[in-house]
Amino acid sequence: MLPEDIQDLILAILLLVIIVVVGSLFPGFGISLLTYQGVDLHDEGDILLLNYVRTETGSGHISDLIAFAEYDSEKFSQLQAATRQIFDFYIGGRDLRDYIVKVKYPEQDYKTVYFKSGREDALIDIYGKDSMVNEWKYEIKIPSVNKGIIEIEMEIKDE
Amino acid sequence: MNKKGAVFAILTVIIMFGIVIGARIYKSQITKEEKFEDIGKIPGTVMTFAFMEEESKLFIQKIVEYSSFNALRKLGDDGGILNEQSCERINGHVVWKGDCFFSDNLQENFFGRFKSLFEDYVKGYGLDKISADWRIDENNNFIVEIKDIIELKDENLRYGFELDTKYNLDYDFSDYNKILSKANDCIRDEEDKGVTRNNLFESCKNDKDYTWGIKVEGKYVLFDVSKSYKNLGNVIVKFAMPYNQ
Repeated sequence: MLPEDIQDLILAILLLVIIVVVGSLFPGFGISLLTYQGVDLHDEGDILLLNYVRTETGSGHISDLIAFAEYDSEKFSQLQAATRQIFDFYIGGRDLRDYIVKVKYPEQDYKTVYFKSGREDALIDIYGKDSMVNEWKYEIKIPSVNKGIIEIEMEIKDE
Repeated sequence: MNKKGAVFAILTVIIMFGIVIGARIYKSQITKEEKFEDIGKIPGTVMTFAFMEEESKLFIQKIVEYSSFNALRKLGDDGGILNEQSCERINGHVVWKGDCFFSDNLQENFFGRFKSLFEDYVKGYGLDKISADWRIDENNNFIVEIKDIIELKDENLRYGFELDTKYNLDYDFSDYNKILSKANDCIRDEEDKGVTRNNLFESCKNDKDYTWGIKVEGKYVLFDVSKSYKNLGNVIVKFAMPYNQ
């Protein structure tokens, strides 16, 4: 190989390295294509609610726990504790918006299962039906053991 | 490197830089103009349908379970007689005598009640009629089968999915015969006591297979015989039998 060819080869390799380095520094190219995004309650509210209802706990499926808690306050307390654990696991501190999980049994008013506020100074009115304004709503229906339909609702306060 | 080669190489690098930066700027503009969630009407509706499919499947699975439990309870409340059968009742307990006994085909009798409850749930949820059937499998289990195609509709879009739910009833309908036999024995034992009769029906109350609630009312004994069903609660067979005081 001639000395000029070796010089050309070194220069070509250097140019290639420069192109790769410059390309990878721009977001959207190369290494920066891999990005992490946390749970977005607005995008995933439906799936989150469905997974919650299907979750298996020490006291049975959440859907069964909800159904059996219709006339059983002890079961309802179990449901509240299990719901807190599940939502803290799914969301934790990754989303700072206020959200509330409620159930409506046939011929009964809404009952709050869980309320979480991302703000320390939030007014926690967990039994207030209209405690959240400008909220996003997600809903899922399961049957009541006796008759009728139970509505499970999740409301997320908009930013 | 000769002069021409050097100029060509530098030009190539400049063009490459230009393409990379240009593509990046173009991509940023597209991202700003179009929001990520705006995926168009049809894909958005399909995603909603896919979610509804999962929700509906969960709902159907639960109503099969709850309808089965409630049908067993209704059958027990009616002492196992046919749905439209007219029989004498004492305090809501069907008197087991003459033609008024639990039916020969308790499975079909159960399933008639199941279907009615199941259809009420389906209607309440807003779905079209779903077909249900039952069979005895190779292990002699009573299986409730839901096989149907569910179709969801939007303005211009139709979305179908197949239901294939199987539910093992886990209830022994021969319990009715066992209960009748035990009730007859208990009444006979009590009648045989003669003057020492105390209406305690000890052999029934000490039974380990079922929990017996027994009450004498005039010429009849009222029985509430219960057994737990899965984790859902108790199934109680209610009936009355003639009793010589």
